[in-house]
Amino acid sequence: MNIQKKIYPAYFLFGALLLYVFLYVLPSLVGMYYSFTDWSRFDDTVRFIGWDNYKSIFSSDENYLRYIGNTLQLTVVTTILKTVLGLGLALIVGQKLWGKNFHRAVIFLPTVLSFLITGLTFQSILAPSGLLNSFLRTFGLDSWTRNWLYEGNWPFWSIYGIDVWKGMGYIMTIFLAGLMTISKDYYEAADIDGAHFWGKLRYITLPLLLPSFAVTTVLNLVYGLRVFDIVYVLTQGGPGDQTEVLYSVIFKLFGYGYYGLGTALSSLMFVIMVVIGYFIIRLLNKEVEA
Amino acid sequence: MANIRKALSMATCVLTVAAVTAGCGSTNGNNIDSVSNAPSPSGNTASTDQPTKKNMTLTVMASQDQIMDAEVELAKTFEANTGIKIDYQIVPSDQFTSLIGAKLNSGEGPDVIVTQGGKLTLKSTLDPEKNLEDLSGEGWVSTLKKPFNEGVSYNGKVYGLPLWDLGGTSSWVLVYNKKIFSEQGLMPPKTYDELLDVSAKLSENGITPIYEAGSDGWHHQLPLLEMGPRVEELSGGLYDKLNANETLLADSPEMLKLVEQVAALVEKGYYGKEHFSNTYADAYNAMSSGKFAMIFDRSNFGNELLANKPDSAYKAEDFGAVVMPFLDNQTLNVNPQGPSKFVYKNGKHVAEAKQFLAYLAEPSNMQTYLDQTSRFSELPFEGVTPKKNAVLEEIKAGSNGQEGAVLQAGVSYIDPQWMDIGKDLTAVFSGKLEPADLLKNIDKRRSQQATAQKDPAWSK
Repeated sequence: MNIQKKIYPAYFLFGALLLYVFLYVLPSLVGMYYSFTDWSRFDDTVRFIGWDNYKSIFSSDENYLRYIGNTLQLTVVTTILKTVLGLGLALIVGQKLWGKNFHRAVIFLPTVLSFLITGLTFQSILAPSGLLNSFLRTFGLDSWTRNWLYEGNWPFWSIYGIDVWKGMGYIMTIFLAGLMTISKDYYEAADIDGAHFWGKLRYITLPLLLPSFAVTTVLNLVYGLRVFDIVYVLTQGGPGDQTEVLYSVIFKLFGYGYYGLGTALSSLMFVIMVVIGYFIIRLLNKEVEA
Repeated sequence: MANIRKALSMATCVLTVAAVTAGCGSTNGNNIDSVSNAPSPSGNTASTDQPTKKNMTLTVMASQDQIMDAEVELAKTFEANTGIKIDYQIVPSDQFTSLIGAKLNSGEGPDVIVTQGGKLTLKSTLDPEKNLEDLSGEGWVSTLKKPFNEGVSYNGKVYGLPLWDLGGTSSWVLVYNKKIFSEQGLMPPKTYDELLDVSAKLSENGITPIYEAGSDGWHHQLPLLEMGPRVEELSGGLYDKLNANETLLADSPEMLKLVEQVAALVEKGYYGKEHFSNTYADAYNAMSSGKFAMIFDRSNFGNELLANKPDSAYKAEDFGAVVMPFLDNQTLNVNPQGPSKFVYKNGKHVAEAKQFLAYLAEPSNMQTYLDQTSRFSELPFEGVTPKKNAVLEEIKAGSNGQEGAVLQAGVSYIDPQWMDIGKDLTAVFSGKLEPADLLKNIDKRRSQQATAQKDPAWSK
């Protein structure tokens, strides 16, 4: 440690630290300050109003807590689904398989599509007379057809489904990279011991993939918490405000010109993300160390 | 080491979140369709003395359906004459309000904004003194007829060019297919019960009574807001009381009944099964197919249909119209405000943007624009000869002869939340929101806007 200190003096940090403070920390703190004001585009005077914006957010007359709930629900559901499906796909296309590179490319492809294109395409697919319902009718499953973007809880599940379809390819590639780092010796030894597939998965693959789990979970969580594009393009938060998430509401509040309230929601999101992110990284790092 | 790792973990976490949060501040354009006009070898000469700048592009941002083909043609000629290219950025209607709001608030507005005018609306939607160039000194302002100047003015200054038919032709009415009605032995409805009877008969015979473009987000709420004059008649002074913050929409039994009547049409299946995904752009196809008998549209619908589908089996004269019969309405709803063009004063090309508007507002160009736009019968400017609109005359003859201003023109803080009202009404249609809650939501958004704008009526 002493040698390292001699080689890298502390002031080497200052440049990076300065940039970090000015570009990240300071704007966040300024944002925090504005969340305690009535800043709006209708008035040049910005007044300090204490916790009023936060009181509005947590008020039972408003729906902001439900939007936070929607965001957290989307985050949890898509994180689980993307992880499970991404891992499953990685295990399949990681095998000696005919045309495996082609399969990998096809699964990864949705990731590179823009959300706008994806959203518009799926709007058409999920329309009452769209591809999905036509497909179901072809097989005599008329009772399964529905208005996917408006009926019951289906708007949520439509968003989850499309988001998972689009994102699992990316998660799969991270797991694939993780799988490649696992020495084949472990599996050979396990084969000699007569281990079956689930045993190898439970005792070799999953423990050695923990660093990959750490990365994918953080990526999925951060993505899920800041989700906006797919909701905005697909349902605009509707019908009504049923599928509204935090960033779609923040966007709307900024559009109306309610900066103070919008910033309060952003700041709240900041805190939620820091807390969740910190504990997840800590938890997963502990697991990796163990 | 463990502490260092913890600190690093925390720093990484904060850094990631901060980057994400910082990224939220910038808003990118979300243009679905961008039309750049190629130079045209021929065209009129721009009769303006203002300096021109060659080889530059003006950005015009508009909502869907608010730029007419005739204007695009004029823009081509303008470019040929001046070298100033017009880049039309057409944004889906349901995204326009939030997008333009976010753009203006981040100081990245387009050179020209095309959006709804309105004396009660401008402050909320565009904040004229902060964002818009004062156009009071422009030559065309003196030809703008009263009271239509009010819809583009704020604090005595004119900020917009309302290149739109603001007369009765633009009133949203119930358009019906005369041939289908005649074949079915039906008369156009004058009361809500008659509308239900007619719809029931059409449904029984396999014809979807009403074509509703539910997916665009702006059309399906028309009956609610356009029936303002009838609600005003029945309630007596509701507009004034709402503007003075002395009552709420949620307290109006007439408004509640209106929402319920509109929702009942959906419940009974009179909008058809596909109304959630129907688009307004497909209305001409739908109405010329003979599968639909009615649509909430303007009196010139027949002409527009023919212009868009010259091979249609139905001709312009096959479409008649009556006032919307919700709440047994017989008064023609009029709206003295409409899509108008505004110049973003913090843009880089303010002079050129004013030059473009001045070009569009030349009497000969306005006449060409009017003559080539089947949707319009008149423009709110002196020196432009109107076209005859026989259907409008029929509507007026068949109604009580009265006219009244629509809800968004008479009541403050309604127009800026147009798309939100549409989303709430969709929720009512799909059974996720009660009609009374829709009205409460409108009241809540009105209160939010009024409070933010320090409206004296709300600070009492």
